[in-house]
Amino acid sequence: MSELFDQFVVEVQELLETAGAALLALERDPADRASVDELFRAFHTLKGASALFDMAPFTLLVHAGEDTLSLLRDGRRAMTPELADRLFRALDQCARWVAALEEAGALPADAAAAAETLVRGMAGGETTTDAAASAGEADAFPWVAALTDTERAAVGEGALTAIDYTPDPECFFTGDDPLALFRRVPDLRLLRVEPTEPLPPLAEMDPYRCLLRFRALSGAGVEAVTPAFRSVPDQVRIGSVALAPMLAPSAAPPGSLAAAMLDEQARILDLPGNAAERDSRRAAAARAVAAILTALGRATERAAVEAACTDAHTLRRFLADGPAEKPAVAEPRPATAAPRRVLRVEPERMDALMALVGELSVVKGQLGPLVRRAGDGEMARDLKSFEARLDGLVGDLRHAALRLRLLPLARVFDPLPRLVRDTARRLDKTVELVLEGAETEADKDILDVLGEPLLHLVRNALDHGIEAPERRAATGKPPAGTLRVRAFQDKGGVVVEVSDDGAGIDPAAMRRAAVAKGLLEPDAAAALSDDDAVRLVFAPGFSTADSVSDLSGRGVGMDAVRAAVERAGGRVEIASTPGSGTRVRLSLPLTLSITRVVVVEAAGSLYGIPVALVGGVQRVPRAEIRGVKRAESVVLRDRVVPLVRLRRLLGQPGDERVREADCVVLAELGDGPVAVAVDDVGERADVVLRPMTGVLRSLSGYAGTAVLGDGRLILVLDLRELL
Amino acid sequence: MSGTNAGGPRILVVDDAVTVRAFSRRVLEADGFVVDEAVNGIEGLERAMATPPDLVIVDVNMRKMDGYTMLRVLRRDPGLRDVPAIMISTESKDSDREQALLAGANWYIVKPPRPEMLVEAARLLTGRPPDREDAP
Repeated sequence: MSELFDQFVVEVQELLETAGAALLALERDPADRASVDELFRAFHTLKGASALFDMAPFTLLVHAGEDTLSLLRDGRRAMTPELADRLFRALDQCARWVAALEEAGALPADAAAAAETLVRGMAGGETTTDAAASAGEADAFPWVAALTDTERAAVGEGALTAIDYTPDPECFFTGDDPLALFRRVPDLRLLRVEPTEPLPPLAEMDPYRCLLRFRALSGAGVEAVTPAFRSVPDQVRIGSVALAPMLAPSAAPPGSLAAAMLDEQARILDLPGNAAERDSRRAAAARAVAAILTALGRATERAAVEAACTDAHTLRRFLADGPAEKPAVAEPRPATAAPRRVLRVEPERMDALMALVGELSVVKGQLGPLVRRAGDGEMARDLKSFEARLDGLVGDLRHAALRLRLLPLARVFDPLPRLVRDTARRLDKTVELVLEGAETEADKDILDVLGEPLLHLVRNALDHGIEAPERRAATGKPPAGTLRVRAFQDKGGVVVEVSDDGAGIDPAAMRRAAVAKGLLEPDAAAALSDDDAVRLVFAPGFSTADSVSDLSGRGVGMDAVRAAVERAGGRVEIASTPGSGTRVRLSLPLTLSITRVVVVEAAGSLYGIPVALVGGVQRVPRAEIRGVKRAESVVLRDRVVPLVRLRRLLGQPGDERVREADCVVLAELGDGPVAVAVDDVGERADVVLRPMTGVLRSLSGYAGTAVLGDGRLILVLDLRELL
Repeated sequence: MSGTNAGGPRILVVDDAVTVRAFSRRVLEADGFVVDEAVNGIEGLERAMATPPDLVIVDVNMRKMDGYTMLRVLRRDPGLRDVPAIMISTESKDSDREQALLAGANWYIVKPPRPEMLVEAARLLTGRPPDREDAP
């Protein structure tokens, strides 16, 4: 059942997310009927799906949630923040349980107790248990219809009370003795004990867990039977049943499912309704009866069956008299058809495929130089067209393989509404969260990278960005702050922006703080542009908050955000306007498997710089480079940018050649652009980055090695570390 | 039976819970049925009209169109009005069973169904012997 369980886990996670979102919406607008319905349906589906597995506390809890929502839906109960808290807690509990099930294969030992507490909380003092609700009404005990002849003979006829009791697996620890309970049932006529799941091999069996289900029939009434199960109302269903009337043996064995079904068809014929309804019901019942008779080896003329399907009495008599015998149509057992299914692939296999695709791109790249070497002959032309086709195919393959791994950003957006709700409630702020572009797709690796930083940014915005309602009102802003999280695709990568309409970051305060912390000399701080001053939030150990709140120390978190994003080959930008808000933009590649680099040359060796970090490449005339002591700088796009020479960074001798101009790569790092002077700039290439191994691992400043299309080896630079 | 094809009787499972659909599919396919799926009543009707099934198994509570509505519409369609239908629900009350039959169901099963019960019901309503040993 593990595959089914995997599917269940995925479904539960989705349902919990749906429920969480609906609950948020409902809390905001208690009159929102669509959300109540959505929430109810989610709980209802959770109940149905969980009942397929041995996880009674889970089922009990979501059942209680469903009941609560049903009251809410009918207007018999009102939505309050407290009730929302309780429902949220129930959802959280379910999420934890699913995690536990996934990991340990079983609910934690305290699950039943936890469920009970939560259920009581939701009921708000009322005690409606499953048994009380269903006792006296429940009669659909399907197994009753499928009793064997012997059992049927033993229990007799007439009104009986059915008992369906699945003890909690931990019942031996709570002092319940399932069998002893049945000894207290009056007029017990049948007791069936069945395993709830296939029993494990004896050696693996845990004798302290109860894996049994008890089914019983009693001749006494429901009210006489119920007291015996007073201690386990959540694990038992009790209801009265009337056994289907015996049918003549010619139609179906009495007590069999077939007999019960045939009788049901008879009942259907007598159901009320208009002529059209009764007509179509009759047609369906006739076809059902014909099918059942065929299944029983008593294929009957369809016309005869249809003629008999006028009312319940006629059909019953037809069935009892036995239809005209006819050789049964032998139906060959059909071969199992090929099932259509969704493929689940282990991540390692995906990674292996991606690595192969990467290698293939690299090997394909080596064909280019070969083709050029082949000259102009006929063979060269053929080679060229062959290369073009291969090029297209490899591109398509790479695209297809990439797509397999793409997932919508909804995955990382989903926790945000709840986070914002809880955080805002704690801070006494009112915040409207706007999510845009949740359908934007990115590689699973990238989503994993994005998750944490995104939570950080959102917490930061709530904690430090958006002001308290009074303060907002005083500055003429609407009391509710707006937090916008927007994702979109850009230049073959994915961009996520987190913006708030809060207080913004004051550059002057940033400068003062930098000086006070000894990070900058006063004149250096004063020389910083406003943008650069704001960018100080990304500096390690920097925090503008006077006291670090429990939610986030802004500077510390921002440094972690930048580090995580840059490790993944992405970059972080920040823009802030004091008084009106802050926007942080994370740009990430679409995937981690293939890195796009700009190839540069320094001192005769080739290096790669991730394209995501490159803001531009240009030639800068020597005359424009200003030198102050050993430091150099250049004015690019109206800004003074420090200039560093890659040769010097790498400890190589300086370039002795006399040159008019320098090749400069503008590296966009979190704390401002840096111009990196190189000997030459080559092509852009997609490479599979291999981490440094062996003795090379101790070298800092390199992200890894890669092989270019023509087979040449390059070192990919980790500029952040180098600078 | 009409509609029987080389792949075995075709069953349309209509349920918005992927787990329940997967469960039904697993159980029924293991018994040689061809299983088609739909996530709500509208999709269920579309599927049924595209390829008439030999049996539909339909959940009650679904978004867009619930099981009752789907059965009522199915019973009005000239080509599908006699397709046997099982309604499957978490509710075990008499009134729920009654409502299912009124909407047009031929049989009612309380969730979660026992696999052998589901298979036996499906076999009966598609005209296959309840047990392999009994097969002629």
